[in-house]
Amino acid sequence: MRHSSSNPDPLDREVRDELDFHVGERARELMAEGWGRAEAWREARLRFGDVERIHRESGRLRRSARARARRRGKMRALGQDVLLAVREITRQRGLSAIVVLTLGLGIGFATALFSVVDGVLLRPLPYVDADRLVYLWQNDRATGTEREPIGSADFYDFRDRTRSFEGVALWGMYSASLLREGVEPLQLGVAVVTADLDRVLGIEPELGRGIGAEEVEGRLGEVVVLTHELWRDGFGADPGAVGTRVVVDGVETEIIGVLPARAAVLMGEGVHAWRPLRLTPASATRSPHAYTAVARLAGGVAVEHAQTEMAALARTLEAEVPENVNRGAFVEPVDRYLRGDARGVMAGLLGAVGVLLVLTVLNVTNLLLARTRARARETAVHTALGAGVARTMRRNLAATTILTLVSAAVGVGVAWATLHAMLGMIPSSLLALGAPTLDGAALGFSVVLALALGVVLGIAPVTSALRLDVRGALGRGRGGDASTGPHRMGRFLVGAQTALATVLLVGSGLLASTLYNLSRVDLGFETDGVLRMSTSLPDNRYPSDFPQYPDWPEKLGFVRETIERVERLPGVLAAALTTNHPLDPGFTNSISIEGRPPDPERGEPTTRMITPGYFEVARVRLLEGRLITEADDHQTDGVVLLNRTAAERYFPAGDAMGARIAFWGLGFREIVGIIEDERVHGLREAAPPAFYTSLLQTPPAGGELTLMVRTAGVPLEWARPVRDAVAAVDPQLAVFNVTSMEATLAGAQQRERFVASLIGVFALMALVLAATGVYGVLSYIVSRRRREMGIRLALGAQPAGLRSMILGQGMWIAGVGVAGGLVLARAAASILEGLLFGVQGGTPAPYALSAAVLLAVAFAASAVPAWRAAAVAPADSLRSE
Amino acid sequence: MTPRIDSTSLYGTLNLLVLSALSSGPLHGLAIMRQIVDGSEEALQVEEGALYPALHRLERDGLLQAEWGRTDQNRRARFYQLTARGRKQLERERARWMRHTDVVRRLIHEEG
Repeated sequence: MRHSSSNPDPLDREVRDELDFHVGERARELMAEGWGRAEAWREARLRFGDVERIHRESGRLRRSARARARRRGKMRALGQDVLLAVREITRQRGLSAIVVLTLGLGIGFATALFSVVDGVLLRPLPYVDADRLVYLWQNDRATGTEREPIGSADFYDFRDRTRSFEGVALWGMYSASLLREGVEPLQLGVAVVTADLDRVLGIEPELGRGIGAEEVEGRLGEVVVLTHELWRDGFGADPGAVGTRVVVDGVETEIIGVLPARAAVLMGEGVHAWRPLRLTPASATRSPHAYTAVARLAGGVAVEHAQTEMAALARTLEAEVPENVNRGAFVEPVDRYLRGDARGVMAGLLGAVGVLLVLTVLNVTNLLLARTRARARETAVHTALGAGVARTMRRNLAATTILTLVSAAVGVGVAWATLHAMLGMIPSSLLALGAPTLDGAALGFSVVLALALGVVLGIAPVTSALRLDVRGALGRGRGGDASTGPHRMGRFLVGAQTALATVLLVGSGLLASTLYNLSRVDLGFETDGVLRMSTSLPDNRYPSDFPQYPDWPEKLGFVRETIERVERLPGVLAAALTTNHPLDPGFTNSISIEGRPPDPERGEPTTRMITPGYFEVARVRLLEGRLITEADDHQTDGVVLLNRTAAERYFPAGDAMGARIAFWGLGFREIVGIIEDERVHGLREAAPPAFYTSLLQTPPAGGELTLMVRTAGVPLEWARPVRDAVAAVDPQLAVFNVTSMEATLAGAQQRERFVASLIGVFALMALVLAATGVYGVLSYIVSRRRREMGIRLALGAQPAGLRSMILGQGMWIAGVGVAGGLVLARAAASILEGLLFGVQGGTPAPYALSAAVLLAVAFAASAVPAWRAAAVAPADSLRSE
Repeated sequence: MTPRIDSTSLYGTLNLLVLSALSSGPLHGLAIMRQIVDGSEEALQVEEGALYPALHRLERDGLLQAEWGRTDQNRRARFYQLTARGRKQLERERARWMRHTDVVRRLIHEEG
């Protein structure tokens, strides 16, 4: 309350009175002693002191005292409200439990999804002004690709012949082994980078130094910079790692620094370290197109402008350089490339969560309405007696805020469980951008959400209670018709929630069917119990001497010895080496068939090089002829196997056996057997034509091999012994991608599983909402028509009749909702078509099942209020008015 | 010349004197002042107005409570009395003061 001269503070008056009294009494005393009136007053004031100053000081102190007293009063009132609220909540345990459950689920799911969005989208890229960074791709008009890596000579043109960029940097990638004393070898993804990458990105090394001009020139010997993640996981975050020497790909290298966290995110997954790219204008070439360029836009330059300039430069290069024919330019913001796909998904998710929260609020309001309705008369009386709207509102807010905060605590648990369950299903491409965790931001989000919900829920019922006619409430005491106003809204709302739940359940059903059907696809090979890992044979110790082909003793020796050692391990049923595991499509090659003209219509089969044990490891079935054996080696005649699709396609007349085919410019080899197809493109696509040769006859020119082991139990338990066996053959080899074939298969279904898990979460929530909605609305009806029910029962109506009336109402609302939902679901199913397998959007089973589940749930939710209605003692209900 | 005690010096002392003056019952401001001055046989002279901020501070801090009443001349005055907290504080301050003067007395006697 602001006081002014027109609105004087009564405290000032009091202080004035008090001081005047003192001075007045003193004056009177003096006058009694014989002083004159004027002199007495003057003396009294003199003795008193500076009246104005004291008046001010005292005034200040008394105002301060008043403010303290008011604060104390407010705290006490708040304390009372909280106590009352807690009492009320614990008194209606059932209702409170349902509300807390519903809100807890809503807040929990919202928080979990917030974490996902926060982890993936909101966390900023670890670069300075990341929105100014762009990739400089080329594209190929002939093949129609949009993003192509560039040649190193192109880099110099991009850097020196443009004005749109403040800096341009380049990198390429390769795989290298890292050896250290006393530690297992690691296989790393290494990026070779130009000196100005740090500057372009705006990053500083976390430890040591980064790749600069000196390092590129090579004056200081071989160096490597570790990513933060490699330093953390492979070096135990030891600061002493910087400065130590390790062996990278057989060459002694010094670790000169550690990058900040997530610094390599723009290079995609799987980059563990950076090394200098030894590039000079003289050594740069147009081909191979093995490098990626990133640039920082110069101040004030827009992406479109840069695109125009780069496109013009590309055209110029096309004319200047024959290798650049058909190559255009594409300038793409780094942020968009990394997060583009995710944005749509996240926006959709947030929208869905928003809808769900709104429904939750309306639902819980409905639930609380039944209770508020009962107290409405009490509230009206209070208001009439002057308790004040504000006080009532505050009490309500206290109650609902306590409820929502408790729900938030439940919600945190729900969020944790949801994230835990979903983590396995989130596609790794999204996870690479940032892992969702239940961190401070997420917890803060849930608290803020809870408080907001508390306010909304607290205000809504009070405002509706206030709309009651106070006089009417005090008078006759009977509410209006049950189908008016807010009540109709409530029923419509529940119908809508039921429809939504139906749609989501149908979606879940379709995806669950899909996952089930996928699991039943005959892959042509068996994945359970199979371990796989890869290794890379470096050229220097495993040379590929082409004139000697196929007599490459180092590679052949490695293959033989490794298989031998691994097969000797206990619990190993079979082992094989291959260039591609069964879910790796590999490369294709053209073949020629002896005695036939080339036929481009045939298409190219995929090449698979294996050892004889492969057929036992993968359990591929033989259809005709024989399998490859140990006897087929580099000294015997060349043999090859075809799969069924290849046999049917290239030998439709059925004369594959004994025919001879040639590939890779080698001589003709005989087809000695036909095996069943392997679905190397995954579960959905049919197997391509394929041919198989033995690694002992055709050792690979490249160094990468995959070892597959069929074990008698859990594959990863054999990881250690198998690694040791490989190390026994060659201690300097690192193994990587150690996993089971089952995990690989699950990974191939990542997208379906992710969407299925998301829809499942939402379906569960919607189901809870529908159930609580039906329950809430019916409770509300029952509470409003208490008096009517009491009268009916008193007049001899059967309780069963009342029960079925209520049940009927509930089923009717649910039924209408389900019917509408089924129609909507059919429309929505078309969105999912791309993901479905073995079911169509219109397959009836999920629809029937969802309808059944929802009607059953609605029945259960209706039963409680129905029973309560009939259990009302007639006298009670009449008296309660 | 009797030493003047105003509100800025010996502030703590003034509080103790006020609390002590009220120990036997409620008084208005003037009466409190008279108690202090009379009781000290005019050895202390307090600037009269300085009393009031002290009273109001004690009231704000919960050691005194006040209400308006009537003197025997039927004039309106504000009467102060000790709260429970005030009484406890008085005991504490008395004890502290006693300890303080004890020490000083001992020191003086030793020197003497």
